[in-house]
Order: sequence, then structure tokens, then C-alpha cells
Amino acid sequence: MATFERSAAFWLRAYPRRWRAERGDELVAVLADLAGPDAVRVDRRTAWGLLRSGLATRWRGSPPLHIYLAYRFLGTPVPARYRAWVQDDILGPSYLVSRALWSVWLLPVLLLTWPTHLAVTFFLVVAVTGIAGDPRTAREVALRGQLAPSPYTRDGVSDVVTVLGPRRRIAASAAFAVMSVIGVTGSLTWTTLLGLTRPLALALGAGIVAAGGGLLLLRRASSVTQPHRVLVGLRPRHLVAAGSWVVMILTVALGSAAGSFVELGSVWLVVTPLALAVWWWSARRGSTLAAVDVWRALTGRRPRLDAAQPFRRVAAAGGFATAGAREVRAAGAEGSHA
Amino acid sequence: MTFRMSEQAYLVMLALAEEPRHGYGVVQAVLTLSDDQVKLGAGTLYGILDRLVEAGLAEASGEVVVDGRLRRYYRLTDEGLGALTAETARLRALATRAQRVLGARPAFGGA
Repeated sequence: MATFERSAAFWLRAYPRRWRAERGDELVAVLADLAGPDAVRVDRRTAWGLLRSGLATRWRGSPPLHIYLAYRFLGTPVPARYRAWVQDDILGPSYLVSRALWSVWLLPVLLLTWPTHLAVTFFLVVAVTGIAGDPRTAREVALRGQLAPSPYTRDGVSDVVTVLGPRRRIAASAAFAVMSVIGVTGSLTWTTLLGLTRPLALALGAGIVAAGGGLLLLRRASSVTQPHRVLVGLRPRHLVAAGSWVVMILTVALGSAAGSFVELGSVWLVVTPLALAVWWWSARRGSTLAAVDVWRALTGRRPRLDAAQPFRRVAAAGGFATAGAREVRAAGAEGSHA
Repeated sequence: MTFRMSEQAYLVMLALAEEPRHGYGVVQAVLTLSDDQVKLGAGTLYGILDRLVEAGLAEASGEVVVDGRLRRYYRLTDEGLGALTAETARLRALATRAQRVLGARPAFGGA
């Protein structure tokens, strides 16, 4: 019977996520009853019917065009009756893609001002760098905005459930490891191409001094216990973003455009020693330092205590009660694993 | 909110009017009511149930777990019953007019 359920679950993906969470079990039971006890797969006619009804259900729940466009391009909060749809959209896989498409406008602008290969490379790098951000945080922020309680709720009863959960922060060791890799690549590329000229040597000196000063600041900054924080370590998306920057650096340098970007060489040499120093410091000092703590320390501020974050979800309305609350509790619990 | 009453939707409402039923029960009842003419697929059934619930013509009335499977029961609301009665009256009036039209036609060679 498990194979039938797997087959049914596959075809049920035509239905929206929330619908599946609320009614999926029920529909699978009906399918099993209709198919009989010795069915192994969902037959073709039923599968086609499921596909059609699933798409029709998605269509019925989606907002009219003007609301859709305002949401997609301006991030406008949707009216209350489409909240379930927007939650499905944000939690679904297409959200990251549509967010990345935001940077599409950059390409024509670049193409007008820069040589083509440079423009395309830079655009790709900007697009790929976008994926280095934590997708879960991005989704929760978007949901928080869309499901914000409205002061104009007519009957005072909201369909939104809020649960408090931890704040995700990237660990300093991970962030500065990535920055060190990019910085070292830049520094080595430029010093190889131009040799250690006087400006570059001066920049390197300044960088070493900056690294020492930075370490002093870090050492002085007190660490605070953060009960509402979860540290996120190195992830594949960070490596992908770092790799794209390395490729861009090599492209720019080897594209014989290095001569016109000679100042960039000094920037790498100033920044890289500090990045390496902070990486070494945060990697050895136990794993409680977040990148934001480093930033605050280097800018002379005290660490700030992270507050618990509200996680908002649409609660199921009417008789189909528990799925919404179950989802929210799961979101809060998920947040407490790195 | 206007509800598009197709023949299948009408049969589903009729099935729910008899007694609260779960999904499979509705399919069986529709088969009986339509004299084995209409066999609803699960997708179509749930499309109709969703639209009925959204329009306030039907509602969920309980769940039971049988054999490890969830069975949710549905029943007609008062508005649903009203809509069903109105539709039945409309069909009956239509059938009466149709009978009159057919009765007034010249007979075909002794039909």
C-alpha cells in the first residue's frame, strides 16, 4: 500500500502546498478506496483528473492579475483572502527564483556602460551572490510582511498564527572564511600581475596594521550569551557565491583590464589581512561569534542581544483546523536546529 | 458568490442531502442516483466539494480514522439545502415544459 500512497502523493503535488497539508490525507484515502485493495499505482485517468483539479484549485486560489503583479514586483501585501496563496508562494521553491529575477534590470544598465564580457560576468556574480543570503530568513521576512496584522480587520479575528522563534545569524568563521578566500584570490592575482609595486606594498602594510587593530577590537569586545540565536555555518551556497567571485576576479584580471583597475589591487591588500585575522580568531574562539558581532566590534559598538523573532503563518480556517498550527510549531522548532 | 451548478455538482449535493457522507460514500451515492451513468473521479469530486464549501453550501461534519486512513464527512448546510431544492424545482419545471413541447409535436408514424 505504501507504493500506492507514494504514487498518489506524487500526483497530489499538482495541488497547492497548504491544500495538501490540510486535505491530502483525506484525498489519498478516497483514492485508495476507489482504486481497490490491490492497486499499486494511480491509474492514468485518475492521475489526469488529479492534475486538472490540482491546477484548477491553484487557479481558484490565486489573486487577480493586478494584485499578482503588485505583489510580484513591488512586494505589496496581498488582501487577506489571498494570504494562504501568498504563503504557499513564499514557502514554495519558485520564491528564490523570482527574487533572483529582481537583479535582471541590472544587465541592460551594465551593458550600456561596460564592455560586454565584463558586464555579463559582473551581472552573473551579483545574481549568484544573492543566493548566499539565508533563504529561510528571506522567506520569514517576506511572510512577516505579508501576514502582518492589519489594523482594519473587520471582525477582530485574524487568521494568522504567530510563534516566537530564534534569529538565524551567519557564524563569523563561515563569513570570514569566504571573505578570506575571495580576498586572497584578489590579492594574489593583482600582485602577480603588477608585481609588488610601491602603492601595493603600502596597501599591504596598511592592511596588516588594520588586521592588528581589528584583532584588538575583537579581543576587547565582550561576548554575550544569546538565547534566541541560532548560528548558521558554512553552506554550499556560500561556496558557490565565493566561487563566482573568484571566477570574476580572474576574468577581470586576465581580461587584460587589470591595468585600468590598478586601484582595486590595493583594496584587496588592505582588506585581506583583516579578513584572514578575523577568520583565524573566530574559528579558534569557540563557535559563538556571529558575523554581526564582528561587525559591531569593528565599528566600536557593543554586541546586541538578539530578540526572539515572530514566525507568522496562516492558520487553517473553519473545520480543517490543525494543519496551520502544526506548520507554525514546526517552523519554530526547525529554527532551533542549525 | 455565484456557484456554478453543473450536473455533477447537483448529484453531489443530492448525495449529501440524504445523509452526511465521506468522499468514497459520495462517489457511490452519485453512481446510484445517476443510475450508473456518472462515475466521479477523486479530483472532480474534491473540486466540487471545495467549491461547495467555499460557497457555504456544504461543510465538514466530522472525521473518523478507519484502517489508518482519515475519513472526513461532509454534509449540506441550510443554504445548500435551499439551493438544492430551488434547482430541483427548476429542473422539474423544465421537465414539465419539455413534456408539453414533446406532447404537442405531431407523432412520428405511430410512436
